[in-house]
Amino acid sequence: MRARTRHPRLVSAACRIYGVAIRLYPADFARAFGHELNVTFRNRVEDVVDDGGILDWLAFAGHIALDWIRTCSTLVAEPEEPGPGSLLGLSAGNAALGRIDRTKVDVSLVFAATGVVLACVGWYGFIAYLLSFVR
Amino acid sequence: MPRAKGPEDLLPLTPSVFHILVALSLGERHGYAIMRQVAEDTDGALQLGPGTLYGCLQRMLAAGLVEESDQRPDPQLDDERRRYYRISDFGTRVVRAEAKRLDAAVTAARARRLLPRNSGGA
Repeated sequence: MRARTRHPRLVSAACRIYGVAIRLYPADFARAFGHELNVTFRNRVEDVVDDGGILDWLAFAGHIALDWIRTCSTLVAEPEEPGPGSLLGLSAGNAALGRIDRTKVDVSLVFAATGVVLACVGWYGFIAYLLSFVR
Repeated sequence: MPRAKGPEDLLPLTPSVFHILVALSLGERHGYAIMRQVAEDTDGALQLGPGTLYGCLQRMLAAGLVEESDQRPDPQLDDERRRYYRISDFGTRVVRAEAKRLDAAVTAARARRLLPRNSGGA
């Protein structure tokens, strides 16, 4: 067990803020590693607060912010297990459970809506082009 | 990081994954101990943040490079809910293959006089 930090209030305030940041991670990741992230962060903060100066503290805060942004973008961009490529996003696992993967459906709907808009714009342009010859 | 058939399928490793595996080759460790070991091994050049560390560990667990240890230390000595990780046999083969690949790259750099012949440093 680690010795108690000399600045418990500062450490606990930092951990509370980081706790909010953990909740903003994708839910699966936060559920699987939330406690570990918190404990590891607490250990690191205790070291920085006890052994470092204000510049170390600022550098650490910047490092943690960058780490959060990088991890979030990696986790969000990371593809899930490859599915059969169904238009409605009914992956094999979810289909077996009788559930629809909402995120994939939402993305499919966005693409479909964009396609409809582009098709309308295209037809409008084509007709306007034809009419310019008639006049 | 998908499950691979052979160690070469996962190469090249990212610096973070490589150094985590090197750190775990010394024995099982929890997250913060891995962070400190990586910083020590790289003379502070690679400082893993908690998010990067556990993001890597999540992918490495999925790829079978590391395993969660079943053994827990004495709760008096440590937080009993803390997880410990160890390198798997497959992970050992992968880190060896990566070290071999890096060694070949260093040898090629030496042959072109980009590195001094007798030392690992600058």
